[in-house]
Amino acid sequence: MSAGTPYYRLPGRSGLFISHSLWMSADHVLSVRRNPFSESYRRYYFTDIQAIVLTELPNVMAPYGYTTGALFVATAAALSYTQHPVWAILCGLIALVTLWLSWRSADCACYLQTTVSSEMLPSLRKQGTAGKTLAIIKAQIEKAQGAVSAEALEAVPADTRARQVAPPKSALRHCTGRLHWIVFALMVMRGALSSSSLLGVVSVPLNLAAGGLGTVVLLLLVLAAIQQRNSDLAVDVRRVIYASLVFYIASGLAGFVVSIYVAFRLGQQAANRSMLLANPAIRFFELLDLIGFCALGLAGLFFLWRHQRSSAPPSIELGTSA
Amino acid sequence: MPIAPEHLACSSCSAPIPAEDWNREHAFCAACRAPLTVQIFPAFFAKPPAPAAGTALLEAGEASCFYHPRKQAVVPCDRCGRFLCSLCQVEFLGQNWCPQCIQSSTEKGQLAQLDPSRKLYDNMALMLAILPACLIWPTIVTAPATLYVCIRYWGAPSSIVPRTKARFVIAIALAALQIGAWIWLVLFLIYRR
Repeated sequence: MSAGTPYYRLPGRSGLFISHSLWMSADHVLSVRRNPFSESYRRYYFTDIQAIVLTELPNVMAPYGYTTGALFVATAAALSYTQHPVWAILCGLIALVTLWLSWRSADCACYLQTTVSSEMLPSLRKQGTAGKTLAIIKAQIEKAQGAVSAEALEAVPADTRARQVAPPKSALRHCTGRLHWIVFALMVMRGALSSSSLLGVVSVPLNLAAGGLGTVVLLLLVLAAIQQRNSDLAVDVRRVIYASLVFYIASGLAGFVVSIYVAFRLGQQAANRSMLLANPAIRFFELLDLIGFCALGLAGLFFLWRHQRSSAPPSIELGTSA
Repeated sequence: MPIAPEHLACSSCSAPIPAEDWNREHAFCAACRAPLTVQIFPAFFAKPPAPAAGTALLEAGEASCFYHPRKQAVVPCDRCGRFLCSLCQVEFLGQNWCPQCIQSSTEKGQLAQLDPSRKLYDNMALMLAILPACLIWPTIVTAPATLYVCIRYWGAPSSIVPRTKARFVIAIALAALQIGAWIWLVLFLIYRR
């Protein structure tokens, strides 16, 4: 234990192996970055703090994380019901980790500005915790510095007030959307191939083609999701890509659960392929698969077409010279 | 007034936050519409203090700075007693220190208030006691090593935030168990013959 400055812990913590926390003493806030073998410190004295900026961030991935977690929970329950305890436990563990990561994901960012730096406080990543902690810090800063008077705020130059704020252009990358066109088209094809087995067509090459196409679609979906980050692509298009990824995972898991359920129900008869395909649960699942892939693919193609039409440069109309 | 509004930026899109949104309960970024809160404090409007240059000596026999013989001494160092000019005087912990005393105390680890980092020897000892135990046989080497680390660094400066010696105690207990198990195994193999 160190002698001297007594510290007490402020709410908020982030990270697992490399964690961040905030501590407060009589005259400063201490930001601690801890890895398994050492700690590093940054001190922010109350008299030096100029501003605190707290921004709410869109927590895009959390809903997908919760959905995936819920699907894993459902799968674990189904596996447990069908007497597969090992797989059920594995799925349960994955569900727990997924839900925990979704719950821990950041929904705000907090920056603390002094004369010489503007530093992020990584331990304040949830709005509720950040609100509590900043209230404590603010009270201490105001005790050390006093509150800002209305006159001081009024005295801010008028040109600063009237400043027209524009988003920094360099923040967004340009994305042509070529990869997205290919992905959405392949998704529609994948849906169409699913319809063949729904119609009762049993063909090994067709099944192989559907499987290969499914793998390519998954790969391209992941690439498209990476490519569209921080790009100027329309929000709708990006959402369709994320939704397709979630649907793909959900479809895979649901297929797994349905197969186990049907195999459990049919017993020895499950070896008969035509009987397996005629099962209502399998047919219903394939119908959902067909509708999901086709709907997402077509929606993606439509949104992409709309985005590219709206962002195309205006055509140059040649006027008639007088 | 040293206002630099471009430094107050939205964390989401990096656009500057206009003055109208400062110290408001509910504000939105004008560029990305992200909800934000900007709290400004009086230090934001304060002018940075002018750097001290030190006063030159006017008369012979006047006390001069230990580090700058041509500058007039204004205060002695409360730690070593050397005379300091206003350039060398550092106010620290309510006292006047010279840069040399601050540097030497920091190097010796005597000033927790200035430490930028600390090693966590208790965590190292605990890892050394736990991780090799997964493979069992490395503990013949790592268990004594754990005991060495615990004894060697028991009194070393640890974290500057409150932290108990519990990790050291657990590491010692685990290392003792591992050593005991090895001794038992050796005795068992000897006396079984």
